[in-house]
Amino acid sequence: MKKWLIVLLASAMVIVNGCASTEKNEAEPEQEATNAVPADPYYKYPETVTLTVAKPLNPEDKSLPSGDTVDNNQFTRYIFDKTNIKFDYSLTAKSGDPFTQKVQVAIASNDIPDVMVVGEKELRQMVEADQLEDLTQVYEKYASPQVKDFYATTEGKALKKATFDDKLMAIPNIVPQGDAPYFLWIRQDWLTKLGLEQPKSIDDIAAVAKAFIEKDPDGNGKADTIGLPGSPVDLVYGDNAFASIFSYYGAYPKYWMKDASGSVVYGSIQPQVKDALAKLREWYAAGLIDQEFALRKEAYELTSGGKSGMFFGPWWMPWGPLGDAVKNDPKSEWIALAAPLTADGKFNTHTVPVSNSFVVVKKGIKHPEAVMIAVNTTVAGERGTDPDAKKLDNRVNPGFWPLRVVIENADTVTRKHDMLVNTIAGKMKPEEMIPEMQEIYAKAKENNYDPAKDLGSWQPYYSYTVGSDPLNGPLNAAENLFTSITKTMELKNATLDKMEKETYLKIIMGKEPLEAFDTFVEQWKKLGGEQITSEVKEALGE
Amino acid sequence: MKKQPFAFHYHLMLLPGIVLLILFSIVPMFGITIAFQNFKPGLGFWRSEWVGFDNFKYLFELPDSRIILFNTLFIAIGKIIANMIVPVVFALLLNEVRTAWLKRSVQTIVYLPHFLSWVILAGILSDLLSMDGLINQMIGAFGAKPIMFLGSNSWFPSIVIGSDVWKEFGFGTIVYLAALTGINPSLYEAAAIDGATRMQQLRYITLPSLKPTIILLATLSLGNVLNAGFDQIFNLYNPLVYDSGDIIDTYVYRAGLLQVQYGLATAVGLLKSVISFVLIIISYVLASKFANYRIF
Repeated sequence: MKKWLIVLLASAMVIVNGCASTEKNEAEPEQEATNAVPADPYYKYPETVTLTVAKPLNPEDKSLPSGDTVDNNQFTRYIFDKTNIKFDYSLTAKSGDPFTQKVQVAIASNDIPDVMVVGEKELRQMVEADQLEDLTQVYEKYASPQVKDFYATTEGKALKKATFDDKLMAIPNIVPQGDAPYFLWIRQDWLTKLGLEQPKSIDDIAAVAKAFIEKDPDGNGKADTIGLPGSPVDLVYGDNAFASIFSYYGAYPKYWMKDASGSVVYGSIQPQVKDALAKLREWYAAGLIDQEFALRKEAYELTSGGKSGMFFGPWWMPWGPLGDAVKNDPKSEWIALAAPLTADGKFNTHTVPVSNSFVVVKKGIKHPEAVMIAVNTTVAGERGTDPDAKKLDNRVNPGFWPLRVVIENADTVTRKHDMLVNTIAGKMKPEEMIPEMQEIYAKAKENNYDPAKDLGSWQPYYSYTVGSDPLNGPLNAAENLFTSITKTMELKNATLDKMEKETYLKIIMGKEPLEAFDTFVEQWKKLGGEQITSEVKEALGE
Repeated sequence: MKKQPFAFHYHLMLLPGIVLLILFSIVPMFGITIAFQNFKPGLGFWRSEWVGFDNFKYLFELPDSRIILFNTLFIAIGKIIANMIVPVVFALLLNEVRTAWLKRSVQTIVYLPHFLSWVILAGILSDLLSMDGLINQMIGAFGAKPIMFLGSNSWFPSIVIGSDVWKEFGFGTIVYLAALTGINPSLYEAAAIDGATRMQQLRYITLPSLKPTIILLATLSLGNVLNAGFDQIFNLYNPLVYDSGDIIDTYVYRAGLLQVQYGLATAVGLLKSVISFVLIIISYVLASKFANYRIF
């Protein structure tokens, strides 16, 4: 009986203590700390500095050599050797939704790690909640010339996005503008087999889709191929999404744009959207679009499984679903086209915001400048400007850098495309390229540009040549005039977004008549849209 | 009944349970304040702005709130009724099986799905119900057109209820089987001697003996009338079936977590808790009245 008591008491104590010890003591902010560190962007601390960080992980990723782990690999060692900064992954989750949710919970409970990479919504939230360190001084003193030059290519737009009340509250990324357009990726081997031209106009696309369905392009004797896959998550800007069909009609859902009269309007409710929906509805009814696209759990399953020979996606698709597609079917040869072209031969597309992810630093940590130093070192390593970065194996996914935001020229994709294409054509010497591209070129050449030999070296090469080729064409890009959130949006967006998604989807799938769009527009205005529009106009100073 | 002397060690045994209850149920109650605030995480409970009942007002003004409430009640009540009837019937049928090994293996097989997660089951269901899935191939064999089950508002609620029953009925059966073994066999022997058929035995002995258990479980499940099952629906639904499948929990997930309106999400949670609390009190009163079930 006595033993019982002891065990019970002990277990109760453990429970109580275990819960109590999770209460973290707030570290005392030390104002003097930054002054002790000389203004050297690549400073190596005499003693190890540890930063806790939030890290999204991709369990599917197999690019780490054996023996390496997410928190101990070539990248973490590289940063540690150069700067003596160590990262402690205190918050991890599967990348995508699970990670976003975990970060949201951490923000909500005010229990955030020292450093995180977050989206614009979270950034605003944390600024409002006064959770972040002011990085104005840190940036001034510690940002490397290389990083400052990259920001200069955005004409100050990127830093402005992270600036609130003249204080820099985060280190923004720079989104390569080449990431925005959704090109038509199509299987050249199927086109050749069926004797078809590369599609240009919107009707060409429909004709090719029809042929891909009916003429058995994979030659297995079964009618199991489809035309265009769609996106289960976001049918305008998601995976496989129809953004390019919308922009062909001059429709830009979710964008704030100027209408013909020059006043700011919401893209989702413009009459052009109706034209785009009508076309997609027609295609769906004719069976040209995957009949079950809204229910798919995995947007790319048809592409990687060799069932579809065309889809819309950005230039870097070889890094994504096409990697699987060529692995599963080495005969498949994919090309990217700027299609559909408008009557005057232009490709209408959209732009992405100049920055969409931000490094934020928790208020009051001892070494906020360590974050900037780590970012400088990562940028120098990733761009290959540091000679020691030569020994980094580029087959390892760059996502394993402990603290990574892409900071580079806004037009980086086309620059790199030109370098690589010219070098392969012999117009340029390999050593004239930037180190990063030398590496990609050398590895791809070594493997004969053959995905079957080494997929990892083929992916960047193919993305930077074939994938980004249409970026040089005549693009007609629309800009989103307003990307942050207003007060009424916070309240009403859940309802309005749901309505928009439902209406678009039901019209395309023929579950509602085309006229449902007009009802949606009226509803949208009535349920808060008018107020949102006037708030946006006010914010833009109209 | 002689009064027991005060036994200290028994009370000590209660301690871990009470500690857990205080830590995980009583302390988080302070979070209820979020429901009456425009909660900003960094400002915490103390510095966030108080907005009174605004979150609740907003909830009732939502254009979707009627649909969402209806879906929640429809699916939850459907589940409660089906999850009451199916296990009883199944337990009665299984009780008639006289081969012990067969009885035991059937019992094990039907309660296995209870341990599978909805993430896995939703994947299997989507495959089965897809346009070229097994079900549609069978329908196709009769020359009918394939049906898009998970994209159809007329099918979705019944799929949700049906799959939930399929997953849980085996587990519910166990309770009734236990109650069935508790029935005094001499009653059956006496009835058999009096010439009662199997059906009559079922009607006059088995069912009356099961009655308290059935009533008890039914009344206790009333507390779940606003829980239509987030995991299941979240993994099965898509924008096409928001009309028939969007429930309070999924809506709050989208509005609260994805659009960062913690105040609203908490208000809904609180409202659900209050309603469930009232229902549990009512059902407890009913249970004590009809089934002589009392805790205190």
